[in-house]
Amino acid sequence: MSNTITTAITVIGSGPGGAITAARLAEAGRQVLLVEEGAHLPQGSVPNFSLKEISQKYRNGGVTVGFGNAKVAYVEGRVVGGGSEVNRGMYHRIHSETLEEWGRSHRVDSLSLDDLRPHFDACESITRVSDLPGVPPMTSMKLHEGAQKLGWKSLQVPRLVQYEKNDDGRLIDHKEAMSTTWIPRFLAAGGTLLADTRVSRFKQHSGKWHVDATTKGGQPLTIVTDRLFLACGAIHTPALLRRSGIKTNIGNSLRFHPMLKVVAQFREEINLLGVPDPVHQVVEYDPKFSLGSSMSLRPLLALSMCDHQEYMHEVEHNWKQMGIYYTQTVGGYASVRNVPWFRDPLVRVKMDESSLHEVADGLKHLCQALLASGAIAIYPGIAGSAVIHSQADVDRLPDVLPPDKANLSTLHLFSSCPMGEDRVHCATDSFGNVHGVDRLHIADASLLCGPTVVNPQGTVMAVAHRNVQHFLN
Amino acid sequence: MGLDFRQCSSGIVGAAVANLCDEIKSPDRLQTHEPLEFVLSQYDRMPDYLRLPFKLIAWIFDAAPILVHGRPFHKLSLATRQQIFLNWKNSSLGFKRDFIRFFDTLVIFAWYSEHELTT
Ligand SMILES: Cc1cc2nc3c(=O)[nH]c(=O)nc-3n(C[C@H](O)[C@H](O)[C@H](O)COP(=O)(O)OP(=O)(O)OC[C@H]3O[C@@H](n4cnc5c(N)ncnc54)[C@H](O)[C@@H]3O)c2cc1C
Repeated sequence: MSNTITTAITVIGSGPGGAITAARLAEAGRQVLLVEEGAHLPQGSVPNFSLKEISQKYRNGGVTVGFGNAKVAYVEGRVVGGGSEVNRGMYHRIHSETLEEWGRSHRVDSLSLDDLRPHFDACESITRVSDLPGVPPMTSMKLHEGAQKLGWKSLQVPRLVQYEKNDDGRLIDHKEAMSTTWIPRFLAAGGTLLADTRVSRFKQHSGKWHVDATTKGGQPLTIVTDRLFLACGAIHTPALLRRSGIKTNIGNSLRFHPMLKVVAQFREEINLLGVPDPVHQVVEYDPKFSLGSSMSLRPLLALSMCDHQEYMHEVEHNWKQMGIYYTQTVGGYASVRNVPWFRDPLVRVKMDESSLHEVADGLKHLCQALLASGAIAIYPGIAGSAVIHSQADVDRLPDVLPPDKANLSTLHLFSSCPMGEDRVHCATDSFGNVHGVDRLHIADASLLCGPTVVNPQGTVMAVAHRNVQHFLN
Repeated sequence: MGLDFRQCSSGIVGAAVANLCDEIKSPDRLQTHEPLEFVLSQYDRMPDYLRLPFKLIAWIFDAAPILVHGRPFHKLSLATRQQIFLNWKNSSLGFKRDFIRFFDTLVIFAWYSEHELTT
């Protein structure tokens, strides 16, 4: 028999969108239940990017792929705090041009940078953002130096972390994740958190929402609630809505930042253990593409060399000379659909020729910057591609990325239920209220009208904060 | 013929680890326990609609060598398994490459993660 919980407001999903929404509602004195499919684990319980983290905190163990003319691997957090628990917290405020573009394309009211500024300020006062004190790691500096030599704009990006020196003088970072910031506020304000509980669908009955869920032990649970906020992330919010029979402009317009990685090898040692995460991004070609440097632990390096296994001995012996770099673009379209009789949603991807051209262009520029800073070999994440040693090799790279050979991935997903007053394309109004359905709101990355160009979490938080304040007012 | 997925995976993981050790010229590090457990648990976690097609390909992969070698893949010598693994890895058919890539990436990541902890 199913247990029943009755509450005024239910928020489903505890990532940045859900956690902020739930906390602000609870702080305003509302009775709020926050439901999360993943477990409530302390931040730092497992090392970042480790086997354990993948097993515990990633949805489907990170084995998630969008299928289509290109395959795009994506990963999502599935834990209290969502993506904020597993990400690197690279932080930006969105550019005003992107917001203006969204205002025009989707007719969103009150979404200028000036409108969002107080919400960015409010979020940053709780989820704190820090610049790296001292000199960035060499892997990061290499990209920066290369960009500088070419006269390209390169930034040191702040992160959602607090830096601290430990006893032996080493700089360590403490993540400003939802589990350490907004979730404790939510609980302190009297909110109830229900972790390890997956919502499968909901329906309206006698003026209330009846939400079907399953707890970890497989026990069915019904939540009866006046108002529902969905914040399951850009793939699972549309999947849940569609399973619940709400389909207008839902899941048709998923966008993402396609990313292609390379491994670059230098003569000198650049990849030292125990140094902070890299922080540079080259933004000269924004919004077409940006370039960045990644965590380059040896298992990750080995993974990135999968397309060049004949050079795996370099990882074995010379891994300290190697770093992982990426180019990230804004092209790429996808849809989210449920597969009859199955639980997990299917993502169908379309990378058109101009999107593939953009990634190829980004790759060439990335190689150029790395060569300029002294890389002696660059191994692109394209099956069967040659190793790059010189500008002549860069010139031989294809102008359009071969979709069946390139190992594309993405960490940034959005726009599957866009907001705005244009009812032909938008799922919700300008503030996340689902068009034509009372007391149903969306509060996560699904709402964003397109690629954020910059790292998205800041925008997800600010928009969620703006919308919940609008609701409370 | 039924498929013992663990047995079949164990054969594939063994071949993947051996190929890796050949590449890095380190024949003494053929440990497969951690990579195999990781592959099996990742299989359990993968999206549910992928599991059945994946198992079907695993079945084809395991059974195909019977025609030529008279035995399923998991019962072949390590050298023969390594060769078949590479043939699929370099195949012109996308589904063969993707199947091997699943094992290859997980094995490499798990193998290096374990090695990192022990060095
Ligand atoms: C590895 C990684 C690295 C990243 N790096 C950065 C970065 O450096 N900077 C940056 O700005 N962004 C980064 N991102 C993106 C950022 O984390 C996301 O944009 C952000 O987390 C989106 O927030 P959200 O609230 O929309 O959804 P999510 O964070 O995805 O949260 C959704 C939550 O809902 C839960 N849920 C889903 N379905 C259900 C259901 N049916 N029932 C109950 N609960 C459910 C999920 O388990 C999840 O916890 C990264 C993401 C990843 C995965």
